[in-house]
Amino acid sequence: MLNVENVSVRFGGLVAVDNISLRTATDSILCIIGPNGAGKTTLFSVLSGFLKPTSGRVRFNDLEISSMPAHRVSLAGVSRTFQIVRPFRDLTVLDNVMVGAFAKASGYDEARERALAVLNEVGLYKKRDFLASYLTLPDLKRLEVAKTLATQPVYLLLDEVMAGLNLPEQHEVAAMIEKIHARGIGVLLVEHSLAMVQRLGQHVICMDSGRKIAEGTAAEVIRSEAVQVAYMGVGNVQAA
Amino acid sequence: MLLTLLLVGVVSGVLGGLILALLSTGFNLALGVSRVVNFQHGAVVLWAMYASYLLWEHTGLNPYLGMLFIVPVAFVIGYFLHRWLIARSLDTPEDSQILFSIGLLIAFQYLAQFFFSTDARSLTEESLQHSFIAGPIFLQYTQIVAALVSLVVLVLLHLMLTRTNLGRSLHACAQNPTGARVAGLNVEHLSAVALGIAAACAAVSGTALATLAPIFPERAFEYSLVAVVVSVLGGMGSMSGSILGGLIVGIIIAVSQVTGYGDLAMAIVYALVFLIFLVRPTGLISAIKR
Amino acid sequence: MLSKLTDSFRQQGAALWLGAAAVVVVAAVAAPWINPYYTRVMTMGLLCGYLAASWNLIGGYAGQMSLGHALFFAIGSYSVALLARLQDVPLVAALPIAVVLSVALAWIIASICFRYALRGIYFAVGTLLLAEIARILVINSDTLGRSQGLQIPAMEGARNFNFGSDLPFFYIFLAMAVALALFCLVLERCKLGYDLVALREQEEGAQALGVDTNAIKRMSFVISAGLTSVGGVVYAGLVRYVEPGYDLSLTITLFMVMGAVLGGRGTALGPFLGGVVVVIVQELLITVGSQFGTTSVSALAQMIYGLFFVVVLLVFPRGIVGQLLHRRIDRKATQGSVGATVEAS
Repeated sequence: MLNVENVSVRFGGLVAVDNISLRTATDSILCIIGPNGAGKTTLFSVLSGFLKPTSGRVRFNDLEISSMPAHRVSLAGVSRTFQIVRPFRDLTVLDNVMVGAFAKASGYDEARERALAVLNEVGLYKKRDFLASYLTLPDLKRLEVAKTLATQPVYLLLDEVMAGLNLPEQHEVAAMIEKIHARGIGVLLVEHSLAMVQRLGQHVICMDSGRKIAEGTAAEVIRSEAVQVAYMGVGNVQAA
Repeated sequence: MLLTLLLVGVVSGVLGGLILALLSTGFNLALGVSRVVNFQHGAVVLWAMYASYLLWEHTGLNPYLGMLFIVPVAFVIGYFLHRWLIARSLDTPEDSQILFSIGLLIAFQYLAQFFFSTDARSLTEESLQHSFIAGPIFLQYTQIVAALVSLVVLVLLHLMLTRTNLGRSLHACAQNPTGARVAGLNVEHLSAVALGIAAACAAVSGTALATLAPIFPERAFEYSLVAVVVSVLGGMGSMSGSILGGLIVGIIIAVSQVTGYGDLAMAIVYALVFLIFLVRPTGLISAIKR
Repeated sequence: MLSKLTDSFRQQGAALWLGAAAVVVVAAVAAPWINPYYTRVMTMGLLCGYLAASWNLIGGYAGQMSLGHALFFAIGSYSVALLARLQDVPLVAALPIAVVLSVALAWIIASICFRYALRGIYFAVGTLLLAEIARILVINSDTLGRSQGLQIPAMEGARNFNFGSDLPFFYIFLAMAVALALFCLVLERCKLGYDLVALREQEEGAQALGVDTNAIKRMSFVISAGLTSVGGVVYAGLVRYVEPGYDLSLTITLFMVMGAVLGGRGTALGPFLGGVVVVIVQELLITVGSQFGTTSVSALAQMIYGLFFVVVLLVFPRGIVGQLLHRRIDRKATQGSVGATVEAS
């Protein structure tokens, strides 16, 4: 159970996240949507320990992860990917994933086994000896997920993993995410693509200007008036 | 008694500080505009010192007049040094760049040693060998003239940076190189200009320093380190920062010398700068501007 | 352990390591028969390689450029000198003391620096300043010998590294180099090795995978410092004279750095090759220079040495071994997996 309690993040005078609360468990996929600048990535940074909230806290089961440094949050089981992928360019794909695998593995052999298993799961096994700097964007996204998956997380936080992919590529990645979720790993997605939100989002939250403006199933949220206004501006609501 | 000592130290320090400020401003400007750490700056100063000395030795010309010939030459050398050599190092990984400029420092320093050997030379210009005494304050004309010249150049530099198009362009590059490029500015050219200006300032500083202290090759590393230290202390990329940093360092050195701790002066300065690194790496000037 | 080594050899090429092993064996066997001048040069080359490899732990694997490593080298050499002069302590007893001092100081420095997130050029200049402060303090201290330095009194026995000839030093440095190279080889396949590379490439990306980046930066800095001081201790045994102008200077730090950069930062064998090349180039320049007679020509040699540094950085940004390994991994990957397509990104 991941519990966000009244989290706010202020940068000087700017309020990036305004009193957000939410709960999620590993059995449903949570999608966070919202226009650019809504504070979604900021919220993710708080969830994964890269940013400390100005007020409020985040609890993972009994642990207060909002006061833990980023690497410990990851070790506790809440791992994130980055919107702009951060592969270790001078390492092979396999070595990239091994960095993640070493987080929980008890030795080189175990880490290697785990890394290979994860590569298989995301579909990168054949490219395991390639230098990461040579991968295409969809493969880099897969690698980003693989690295994080290798740390054996309880919750996987995917920050705009679909960005830059065309629709068929997005569906491939979505299928991969569904397989991972089926294994029992909790998934939180920050997402823009409505198609993906409709496919994956069992539980959806919409943010705007740092605040939560809607929550429910994908259908409910997308059709809600508040969300329509946020995405398309006041004038168009009449048409709905 | 202590108070008069301190007074002498501070006055002397301010004068010395202005010279250090000019020495560092060029370095700082180039750092801000081109984002390159020009560790070879001290060697450029050294060469300017030798050039100044040679000119004086062979023509008897007052070094500050001879300086007027050296400065444009220095500018050109600085410009092409960046354009042809340093610009190439920009493709290497970030921290290799400081190694690159250290390599240049070594090369230039030993080139100087090759030509001039390690013997110290002194530029003792007749017209400057007077003292100025006002109460307890005892100063050399060399110090006063050097400080005044530095001040004049600093003022001119400030005017250039704030009132001319070139100055605005340089400022733009320092703020945002990509944005500057998009706005049509030739960032490579401007970075080279910045280094040219740095070399020109080094030429003036070199001339001033030549009249004050013995000239020998090891100075190059010393001056490079001082430039870095003053820039960081005051504020990287900020001209007022260089001046503030220069004055502080100058005063610390002078006060240490008059109170008998002269040998440890630089150690004190380095320790102070290290603390600044930890606490306020953007330099003191950013703390003051808040 | 076995799988670690086989994976390393597969990726780096057994040829590279076999070649290195062959060189070591040949050198070890041939040393007593070679002109002592060459043995001396090789000894210094091995020392430089060892120091470069020690620096490589923090500067190569961890990617944090320390320019103050002379500090730890000097702790090694000065410990031997001071303890011998003041307390008749034999060199082998001075060794652990020097290491403990270096490690303790490095721990403190690292804790402060990394706690305040000193990175890149700030870390480089910061460490340089610390070494300079130490140098100024030494120059002003009578006990520490001022700028003249200290002579290490001749003391009897192997425990003082008094062997009667310089040849044993060749073997000592060779052994140290081999041990360190093997240590790095194993390190590369351990969690720490992977974490260091991850830290170097993407610090935040590494944190997101559970890597405590501050802790490992500190760890590699501390280990590097300890190893460097050992180099200083043995050096003192060989040269029997310590002085701030060399031991605590940017010169010796640059030997380490250039050796690692030329050979290949972040590789196990690179720094050794680089260190040997650096010393050989220096020797060549000085020898050629002295043919021309005057000491001013040795200044010219130093100048060329500085330019050499510049050229190396432009031409071999990854270092010799680094470039070789990169190309090898590259080639293997593009020939490799069946049915996979590769597009350059």
